[in-house]
Amino acid sequence: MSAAPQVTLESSDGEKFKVDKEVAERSVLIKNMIEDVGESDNPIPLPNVNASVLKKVLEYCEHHRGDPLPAADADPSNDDNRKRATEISDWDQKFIQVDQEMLFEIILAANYMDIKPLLDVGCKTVANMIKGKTPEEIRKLFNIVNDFTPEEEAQIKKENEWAEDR
Amino acid sequence: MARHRYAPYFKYGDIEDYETGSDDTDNDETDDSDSVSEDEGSGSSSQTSSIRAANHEFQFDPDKNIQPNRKNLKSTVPEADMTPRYLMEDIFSTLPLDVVHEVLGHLHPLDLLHLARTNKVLRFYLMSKCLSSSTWKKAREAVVPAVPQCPKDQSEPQWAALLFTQECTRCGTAQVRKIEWTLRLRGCKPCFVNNFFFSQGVASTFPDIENVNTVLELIPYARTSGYRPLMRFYFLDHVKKMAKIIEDYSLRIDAAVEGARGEFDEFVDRKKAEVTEQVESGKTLKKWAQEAARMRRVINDEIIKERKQAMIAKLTGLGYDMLDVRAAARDNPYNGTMVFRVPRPLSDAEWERVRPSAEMMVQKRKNDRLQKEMMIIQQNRQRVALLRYADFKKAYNASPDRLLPEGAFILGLPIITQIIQSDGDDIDPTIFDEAFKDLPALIDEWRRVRRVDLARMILEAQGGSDDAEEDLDAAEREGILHLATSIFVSCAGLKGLRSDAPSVHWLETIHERKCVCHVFHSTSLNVRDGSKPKYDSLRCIEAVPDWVALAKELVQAAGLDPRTATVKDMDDCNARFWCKDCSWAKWKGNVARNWRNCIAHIGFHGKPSSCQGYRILSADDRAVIEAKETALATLQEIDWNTIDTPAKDPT
Repeated sequence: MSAAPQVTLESSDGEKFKVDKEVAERSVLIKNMIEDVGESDNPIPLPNVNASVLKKVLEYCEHHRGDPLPAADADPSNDDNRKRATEISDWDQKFIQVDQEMLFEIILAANYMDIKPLLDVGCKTVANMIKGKTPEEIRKLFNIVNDFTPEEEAQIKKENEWAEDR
Repeated sequence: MARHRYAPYFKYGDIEDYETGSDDTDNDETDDSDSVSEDEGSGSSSQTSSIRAANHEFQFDPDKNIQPNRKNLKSTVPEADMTPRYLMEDIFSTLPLDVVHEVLGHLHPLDLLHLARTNKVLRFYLMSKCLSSSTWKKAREAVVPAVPQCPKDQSEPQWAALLFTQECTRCGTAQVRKIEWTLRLRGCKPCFVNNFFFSQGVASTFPDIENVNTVLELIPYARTSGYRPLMRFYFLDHVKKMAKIIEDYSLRIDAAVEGARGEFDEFVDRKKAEVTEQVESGKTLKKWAQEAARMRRVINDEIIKERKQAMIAKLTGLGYDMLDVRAAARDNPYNGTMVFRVPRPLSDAEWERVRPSAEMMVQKRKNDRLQKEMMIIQQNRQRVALLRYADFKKAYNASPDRLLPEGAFILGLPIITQIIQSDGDDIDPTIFDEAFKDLPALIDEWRRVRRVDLARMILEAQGGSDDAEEDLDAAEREGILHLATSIFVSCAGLKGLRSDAPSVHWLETIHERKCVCHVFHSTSLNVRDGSKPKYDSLRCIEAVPDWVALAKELVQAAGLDPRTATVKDMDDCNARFWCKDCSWAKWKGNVARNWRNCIAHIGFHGKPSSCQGYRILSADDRAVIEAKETALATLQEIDWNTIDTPAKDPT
């Protein structure tokens, strides 16, 4: 039985990760690169992803290696798709239980490497963090500076027109 | 060029101005955006844009003059070099725009509204129709159960605010539920009361507005339900705003501006059509709201039912009695902690959250139940003790006064209380056997003390209040309580119950009195706190000097010595008296009274001091009276001392 083909990924800080090609191809970016340049022993550089984040991303890809890839033209209004859009599986929930810095690094990496399911999980997690919170709680959660004066803050509660219509 | 200070006041017309303008800051941001794009190589081009970059497309810098250094610093740091600390400072300004879109796409409209109130950048982005209307629409369409589409006259944020916030549209008061759909207003009661008026009151409400009827035709209105259902009512702010618009048109028309009249007519036609549409949509929305509320109640009831069943199962699984669990689940939802009746499914996390409160409620119910059961046992023991005491009283020789303590005295005895409040569920009458062995001695002592108390009252009424306990005891022994002048009055005749006859007693009849205070003083032991009964059997008895003095007069009139004449002596004397206050002319007949009735009759005059006294009848008159009394007694058996005997006026 022949071993599965592997590829080497190089993080922004120079660390190399040797993974199965099937796992690496969960990333559309890497898949396209392999298709474009052909199989090679040279490591694939990922200049926007550092080693700790890449390790985490590869953990996700490894766990989901057999999953069907999402259809590019999936209809978001479809009930099943909508349901999927609001749910995170148990494993994914545990996987994404990281500190905020890592969470946003993973989202940026997923976006950069074009791993749609991982990006979804990250975005849903951020959305869940926001849900049900007051503006003040959201500011506190994301370190957003309140640049409204008290008068402006009172005013914006009453003004909900489109900015273009005012 | 002037710049907008911040997004909420960003005018559409101003956007057009900015599209042609630029300055150094804008150029910097453009360069920065380009550089990020190059860094990303073959990555997604979407990373080249962020909310800040999106703002930049409108040449908008909402943060200028607020915190320029820090914000500008952010926009000049290449994305690849961003440290986590930097990311954390303002995450939404730096995330790629399509990622932000993705995040926002998972939010509820209310969350978008809250997000739009966090800072100026987010507000600008989320309140921009061209940038985020699709986000709002997507969020609204994802709401379950579905909500109506946004009306044409509303923006998506306005619609979200109306549907999902519970704040008064006008004053911001929280927890407001009433929505006037036609007017697109969620209003608190004061705002409705103070800012709405009926069409009938237009002229008086707006005396300064010309053509107010024209104004009313161009603004939306609502109708009341029930009371005056055909009346229209209007919102004050709408009237003022429309009046100002019409005034502007009038000025232009008066100034003979070309086309002003046509513009005004066109405006009127458009507004009338909008009002018609808004009123119609208001009706539709109101029906939707009613149906949605009904459905929500049905769904919530079902959720609550399932939640209750799940909680009952969990609590009984923890070993609590089903009775206590069901009692806790039946608790009034408005009396405090709501854990059973929350319309939220009972997930594991939810159960962990509510479990302490639920257990506390069940425990409380359990304590109440046990206490109630114990109370019933104790009340049964009280009844047993009282029955035993009733038997005891029959056997006890309390002559001649028959003065015995009430049942409350027995229940208040420490040894009896201890038995009643003891643990267990034994209510066998024999449990009191030991306690009742000492009862005769206790009763003897009680009687002695009470008789001394009564003697003290009489002595005080006679003016001798400084006697020592030994003297009182001696006086009592000498028979002071048996004297004809030793009379007592119960509170029935002294505490304001003027319509009732005063209740006058001698020693041997004190136990017969019917004092209204019986009603107010429980004779049962309070088993909850173990307190003793408040009722004291002699509490309502008084010896009043005026009454004693009058009794003295009667004794003297009968020719006896008040210091030695006993009740028996006066009864044996069998004298009859006339009341000097009750003349023949006044009452068309007078009454000859025995001495006991004479004293009771004083109450009829209000107070003894106002009574003019009695006159004793001669022996002949008494004989006539006695004959009549005898005749009357044959007709109906009436106790001689409880009826007034009619007689003719002796004068």
